[in-house]
Amino acid sequence: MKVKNITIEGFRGFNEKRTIDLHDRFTLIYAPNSYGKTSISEAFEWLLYGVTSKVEKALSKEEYKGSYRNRHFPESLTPSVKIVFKQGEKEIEYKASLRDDQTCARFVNGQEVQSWPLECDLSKVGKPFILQHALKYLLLSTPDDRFRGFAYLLGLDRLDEIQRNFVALCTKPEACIPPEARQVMSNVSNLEARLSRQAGLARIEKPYKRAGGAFGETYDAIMAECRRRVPQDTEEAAIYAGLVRLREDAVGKIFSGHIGLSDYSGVERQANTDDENFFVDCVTGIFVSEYMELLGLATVERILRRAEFFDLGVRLLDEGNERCPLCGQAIDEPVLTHIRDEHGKLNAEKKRNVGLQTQRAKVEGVLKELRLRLPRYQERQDRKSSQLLAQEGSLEKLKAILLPKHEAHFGAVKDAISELAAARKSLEQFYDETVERLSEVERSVHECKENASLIEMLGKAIAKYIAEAREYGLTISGKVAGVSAAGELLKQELDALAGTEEVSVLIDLVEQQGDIEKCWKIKKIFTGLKELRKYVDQYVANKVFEAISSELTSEVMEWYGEIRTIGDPDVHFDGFDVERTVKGELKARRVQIKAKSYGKELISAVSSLSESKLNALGLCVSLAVNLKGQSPFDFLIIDDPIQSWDAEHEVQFIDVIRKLVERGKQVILMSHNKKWIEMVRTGCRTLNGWYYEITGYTQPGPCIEEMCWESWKERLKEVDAIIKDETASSVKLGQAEEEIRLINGELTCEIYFNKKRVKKESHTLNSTKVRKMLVECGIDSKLVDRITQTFETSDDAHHAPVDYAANRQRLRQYYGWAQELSKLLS
Amino acid sequence: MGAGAIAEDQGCKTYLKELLSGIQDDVHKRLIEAYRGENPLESMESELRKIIMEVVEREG
Repeated sequence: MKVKNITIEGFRGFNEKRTIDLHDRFTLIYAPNSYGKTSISEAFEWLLYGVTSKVEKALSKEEYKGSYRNRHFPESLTPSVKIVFKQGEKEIEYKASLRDDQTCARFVNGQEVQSWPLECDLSKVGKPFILQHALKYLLLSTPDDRFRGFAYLLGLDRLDEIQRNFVALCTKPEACIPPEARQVMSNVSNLEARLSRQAGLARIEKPYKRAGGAFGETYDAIMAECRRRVPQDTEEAAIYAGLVRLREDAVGKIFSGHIGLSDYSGVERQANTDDENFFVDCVTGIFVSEYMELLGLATVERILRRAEFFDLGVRLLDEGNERCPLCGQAIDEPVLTHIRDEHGKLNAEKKRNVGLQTQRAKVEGVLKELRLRLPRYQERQDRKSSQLLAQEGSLEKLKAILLPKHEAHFGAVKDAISELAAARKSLEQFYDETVERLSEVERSVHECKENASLIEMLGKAIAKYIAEAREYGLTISGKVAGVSAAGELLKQELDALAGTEEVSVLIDLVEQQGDIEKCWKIKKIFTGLKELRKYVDQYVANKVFEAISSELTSEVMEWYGEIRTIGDPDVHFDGFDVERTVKGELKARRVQIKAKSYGKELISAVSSLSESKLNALGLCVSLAVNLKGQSPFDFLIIDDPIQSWDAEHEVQFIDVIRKLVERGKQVILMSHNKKWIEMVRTGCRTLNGWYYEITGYTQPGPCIEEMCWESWKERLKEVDAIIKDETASSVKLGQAEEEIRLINGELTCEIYFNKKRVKKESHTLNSTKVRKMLVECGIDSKLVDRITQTFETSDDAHHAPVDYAANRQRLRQYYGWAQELSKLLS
Repeated sequence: MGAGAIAEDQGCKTYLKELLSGIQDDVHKRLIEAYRGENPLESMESELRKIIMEVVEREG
């Protein structure tokens, strides 16, 4: 697909709406720097990909936040870019509007779509852009940036992104260790350090270090050491208990008990959350309404008792007893009818109120569960601190052991005990109050005295209780590290004092077998991540290798040949590769550019080629990628390609542009270099494209003017030369005829401007418009007829007769008419 | 492509499928399968945390 025109409004450097028509072969745009030239290429990029490469490659996306919107564009309007594409004869309009979240809404011919209806996957084909800033960083950059540059060009961005994400995951997995696992790993690491300090346990250390997976061999070594420290006749099953007793007896003489505090495990946290959610549900919403509706039950119960009474009475009456069962008086017909009516009404009422009774059972069930779960919840909280608080009376003894060496640790334990005792006391008070409020609610249901204030008070008590419990939990979490460290030190001090260090390590090894195995498993997962990274690296490297070798290399070589300079030393590009390790494996993210000098391979092209050559090479890579078959785009936007090029490369690149156009590409070339643009205009004159200059930049946006590619005077000379050239081919004659049409268009615009002071763009003119403009200017109707006749065969090829061919005689006639028109200007 | 779930486009899915086809390790399989959503790295990290927690909470 080619581009017919682009309309930009409120995007980047464009404030007010501007439409730029593009020639279907070649459009040249000149603008000094900062006049909005790059905004045009960015508008193309943003519409197609939803992001500009400048933003996509930015280290800090934050810095570019909001930069798509033009600062002067009214807040009430939505910035947008619209492109009319041409696919053969068919036109299709793509429009992208900027949303508040910086993403774009897409519309095709006015209908919103999720993605552009292209037959290919946009992420897998080269982008139709050659951007100066991309070229600059493609080769002269760090290896990683170069890899990213190639990935971008080859449409392998997603692959690059996948690899970067896997590298981030696999190189820093420690960030993913949850606190519970961290605790386990820290405990095991401390135990390992203690084991390595015990010379008497060297026989365990070896199999321990070797294992790293199954515990079997290590366990045997541990048990062998344990056996050595208990009486010989101790049974296998009693060895561990014997060892524990041995240590407790020795240590108990110095200090009994244990200093420790553990954080809530994942299971405990989940249980707390489940209970708290249930507590809250009990005092909000549906439950409170259901509780309050029970108030009606007092009335219902009266109805039920009356219904029961009438049931019995009616049964007796049905048995033929026509006297009142209570007073024995005779019952006449009206009374009997009244009794039966009343019975019917009561039964209907009874049916209606069965639901309320079920509701009562439900409310009672919920209260029963609350009664069950509250103490369980409280017990879970109590359990967390009870072991530590039990040591409150032993603080003096603890002080004697830990001080003066471990004063800070002793202080941590003392503070923790004091703060936790206060927190627990407060929690217990809130618990007691909650239970008291619950009892009141239970009583109210039991006695059918439901009361809104009671359920409200229970609600407040539960809310305070939960808040207090959470506060208590935070206090525990904050003290865990300090208390655990002190507990560990105490244990070591006690073992040192009692001479039970080896025994203590053995006990911990047995006790912590599960944790050791878990720790090994986690470490194994982390080691495995290195393999995963290597696997992903190899996969990506292979993909890139496939993309850059063979096909790409030969295509780049072909283009490089076009702009290769000949006068300078023979140091030239010699293909691409992916670097390899000494084992021959592909290295991750390493694209290698090879070079040769006088037939000899160089170590590094990047270090050997001049900056100009590297930039030219970067351009060749971009061209090769863009011309690969899969792309749906028949256009190529080239933005300032020649920065830091030498003069020879600049000239040769003009030939490259011609070749691109000749290969069917619609080229849109932009540059800030006026001198080079002039050279392009001259070099590509016969392409007869359109030329725009951005002549200024004001608040509404760039001032874009269509300029004439070549003056009509020059074109007349060219036509004259072709007419006089007897050997000119029919192609040349056809080209001259097209020149006549351009001359007449430009002359018409100039005449019109002189007369009406209104500027018209000559590329939009056809025979009808030319006729109208010339008539408006009062030109002689015979000349007008003749001029419009020149458009009939050269304006649109399909308007010309089937067997039409340019001929010298007609061309001479056209030339004369054009000259006649030009005389009106002088 | 700058917007939306970046891990959901066809190109990305194809790469992940190819990566998955050569994997034996269950942990690695789960991590590749977790590559999805707006922030695939975060999604994989969350899966890794889950895997580690399964090890920690496993009895025995």
